[in-house]
Amino acid sequence: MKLNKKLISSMLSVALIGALALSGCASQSSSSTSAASSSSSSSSSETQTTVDYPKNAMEFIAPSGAGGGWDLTIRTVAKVLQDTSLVTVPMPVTNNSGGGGGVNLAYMQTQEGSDKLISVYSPPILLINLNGSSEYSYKETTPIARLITDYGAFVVPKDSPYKSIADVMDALKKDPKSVKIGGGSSAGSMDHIQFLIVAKAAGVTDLKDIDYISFQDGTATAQILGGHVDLLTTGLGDVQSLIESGDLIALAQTASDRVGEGALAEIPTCKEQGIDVTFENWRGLFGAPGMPDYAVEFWRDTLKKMTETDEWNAERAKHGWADAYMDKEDFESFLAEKNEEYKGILAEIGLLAE
Amino acid sequence: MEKQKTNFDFLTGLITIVIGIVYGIMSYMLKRSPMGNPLSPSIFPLILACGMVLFGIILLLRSDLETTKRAFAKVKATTTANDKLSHQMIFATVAAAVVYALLFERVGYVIATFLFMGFMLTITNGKKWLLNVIISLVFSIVVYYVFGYLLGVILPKTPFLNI
Amino acid sequence: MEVLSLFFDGLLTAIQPYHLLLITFGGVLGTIVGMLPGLGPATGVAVLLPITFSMSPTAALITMAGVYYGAMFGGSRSSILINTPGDGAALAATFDGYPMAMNGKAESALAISAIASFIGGLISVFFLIALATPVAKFALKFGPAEYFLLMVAALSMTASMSKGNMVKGFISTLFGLIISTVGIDAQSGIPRFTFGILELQTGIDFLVVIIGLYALGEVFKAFKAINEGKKVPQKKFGKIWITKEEWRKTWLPILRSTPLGFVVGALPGAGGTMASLMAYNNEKQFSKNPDDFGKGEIVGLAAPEAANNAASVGAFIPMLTLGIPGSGTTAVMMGALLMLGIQPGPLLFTQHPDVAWGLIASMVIGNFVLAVVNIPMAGLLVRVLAVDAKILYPIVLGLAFVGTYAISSSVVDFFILIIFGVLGYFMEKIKIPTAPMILAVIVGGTMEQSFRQATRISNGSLGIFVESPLALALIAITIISVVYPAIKASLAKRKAKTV
Repeated sequence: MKLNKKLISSMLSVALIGALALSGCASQSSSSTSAASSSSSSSSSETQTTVDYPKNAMEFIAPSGAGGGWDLTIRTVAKVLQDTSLVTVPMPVTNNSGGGGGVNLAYMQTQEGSDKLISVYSPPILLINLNGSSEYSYKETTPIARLITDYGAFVVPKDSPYKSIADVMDALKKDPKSVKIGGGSSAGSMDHIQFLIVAKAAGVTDLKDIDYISFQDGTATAQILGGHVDLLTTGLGDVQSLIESGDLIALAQTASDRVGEGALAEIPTCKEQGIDVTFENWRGLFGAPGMPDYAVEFWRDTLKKMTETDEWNAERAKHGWADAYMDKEDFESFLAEKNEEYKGILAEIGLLAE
Repeated sequence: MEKQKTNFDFLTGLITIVIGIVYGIMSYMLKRSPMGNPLSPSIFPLILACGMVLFGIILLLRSDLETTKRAFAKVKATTTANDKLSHQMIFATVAAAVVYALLFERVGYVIATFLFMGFMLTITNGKKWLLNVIISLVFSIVVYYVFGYLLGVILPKTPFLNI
Repeated sequence: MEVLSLFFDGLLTAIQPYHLLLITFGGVLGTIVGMLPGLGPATGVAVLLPITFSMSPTAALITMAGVYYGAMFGGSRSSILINTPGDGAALAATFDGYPMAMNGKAESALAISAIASFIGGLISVFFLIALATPVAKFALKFGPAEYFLLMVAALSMTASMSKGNMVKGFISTLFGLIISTVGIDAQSGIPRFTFGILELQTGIDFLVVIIGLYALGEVFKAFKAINEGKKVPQKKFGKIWITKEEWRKTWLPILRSTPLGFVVGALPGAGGTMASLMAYNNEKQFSKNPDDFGKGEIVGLAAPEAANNAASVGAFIPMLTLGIPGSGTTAVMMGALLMLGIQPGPLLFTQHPDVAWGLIASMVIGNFVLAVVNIPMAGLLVRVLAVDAKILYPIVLGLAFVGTYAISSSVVDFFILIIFGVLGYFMEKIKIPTAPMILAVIVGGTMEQSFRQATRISNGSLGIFVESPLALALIAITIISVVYPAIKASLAKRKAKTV
């Protein structure tokens, strides 16, 4: 019996601390517990649950480590939804990284029919399937909405011999092994492809021979700072502070016209430098395969409302994201269209899986 | 009686070599990489497989069959009733854990855990029913709420009752 | 001078009653989360994320930092008392901490763990203030080749110093590396050794391995003692403190392990587990009685404890100075900062000095608070040893399963847990050390990736592994770590013969 006492007292102390913590955001905790306690009566009728959905915590997933574009996007969505009270249940974000997003895509298959799983994805959801690194395509998920778009950037260390993107391309034309390209996504996925698309447009021919080194644990930035790779292909916002501080120099951005403010707006586009190409890093939200209709409807509606709020627009401006909202149906046809487009690009550069 | 060395090194060496070979074959059979060096996913595993075989052989050379035979004989000779009983308990625990895993998402955390803990306590603590029931019940309910509501770890719900 | 005044400004921020309350709350929460198997600092910090959105950046950061080093204090509590590490960094605390508790020295063990943590953490904060920039620059020297060699060094140190013989240590290491190859390969995206099981595509989590080997293994071993009707290890408890003699033995190892832990912690991706194991091995090398290690040698507990807290402070360096998260936990914290509109990186100290210095000062305060809170808490926790094994071990088992579920909400992990529990039992029987295997499971993935990144950079040449002075130094450390114990052992043998 002694143990019981101990157990209970220690559990009580946990509870006390928890209560202390939650008092800071009383609105959230009280609403979630009341939703949970009122739910016991209506469990038998699945169809009527639209009214009290969502009643439990959601499972928001960033398919990469913290700090990257996916992570920031889904956390921002969660924050805006919470701040605007559009969603009152907890929306904890977990990071399920690896395989350029493929690990999470595989995980989503295990959660088939889940009404709580929502994950953020961008071009890699198509690319990793097309290049054969994931056996699952976007069709094995439930696309919900496209939200924003971002652009890519190519950066070098401050003492790099390459002063423009043309310098890099010239070196690659002479010897495709001479410039080592680092990136955060897996081989054959976004960071890699966005560079190859630009290289192709610049007239580099031996695309297959260019060495791309994948650093998926968030250490890619450290590797370019240390000069272990020659060029980093990344998202425009991901290295903002290091560009501002002058530790890294951005050679080009992939937008059609310069985007961003301050140091970012000073980065020339590829087009300005005579390479007629752009690359868009669109981002949208996806549910688990077979996500129930009531959940899909709720999120379509909620996300549409969210993109119209001032809070969302303020966050977008802060991170330099362009608005690219698209509802489920449009998004699905957009995905089908992009899938064909990327398929063509991958086939051209010899990375399309049979 | 002279004290003789006993160890399982001979057997351990053999097992190591077998694991190394099987793993090596499996590594070689892996799907080829669609880009870069097609063997690239297999290279590191193949190095590990070679290492396993190498160290297995070293261990094998350093040991001898007799020592391991003696070790088995010794284990047999010194196994007490208690050892047998604890082996049975380990077996029962593993079996119970497998059943627990199978029930876990079907009947929900609280019920599955209550049954599992009840069984384990019966094994270790004997037939003190009241105490066992109280501990299992308190444990499963307290853990369910502490993890679910304070630590954000959502445990499987009980069907029908929906708690 | 400017640094000092900024630091004092930070102290004034941290010592405000509201912030002091948050530090204490974070520290206590961290200690509790750290004690539970499967739940580490990253979980603790992640739990706080939504709450911190409503706080100021400074308040959010110091609360999360409180959880982080609270978990570093707490992780070893369960290592010492029930031989079940709360997370990877607390692994080394089982080696001598648990034997100490079994020898009736639980009070000393818990006390030295808190004291070493406190000293390691506190000194490291001053290292952080003085050395953040040079250490960050040093960390950047680690390219893929150096990372690979660092991991080889850590693995060979652990393998060669482990109990039993060196060959078995290496077999254990290789087996751990084999386990780490299960799952989707990051460089090519190909699933390996998953046997068509979807859940295995994400790989085998090292925490499941640890919980299986230790928690389940401990329960299996305990059955024998339960049947014998063994008495509880301790019924009466003294004050949680150490003797003068114990302090005389441990102060130097603590001071030696702190800078080691700090530097290893500052390398992005290296982390507390590697730091604490390296410190343990280091002290074993220095020791006059290396055979006492693993049998309840207090030095063997003090050194890793100091190193792992030092590592947790070091891990802030890449985040604060470069905007690169150095560990899973700092990654979550960085996510929180980004959400609050603060971009960690080289400009953090000039753009948001209040946040950066508030955080640093809170580490100083936090260490004092945790030391004060932890000693009485340990006095309470030590009573676990008085709980009848018949009741304690089923509860350990129950916690092991729920902790495993907390890692990835997958029942498949239960089967992995059971397999490793049984495996651990047999490994113990045939005397194969488990620690090298666990470290290998933890670093294996990164190690392979680093190897392949390095060879791709070098166009397939292995020359890249001997190119830089740093790489050569790491190779030297590896060789010494293998050869030195062997020479030492043969010398000892010769001495024994001549006597």
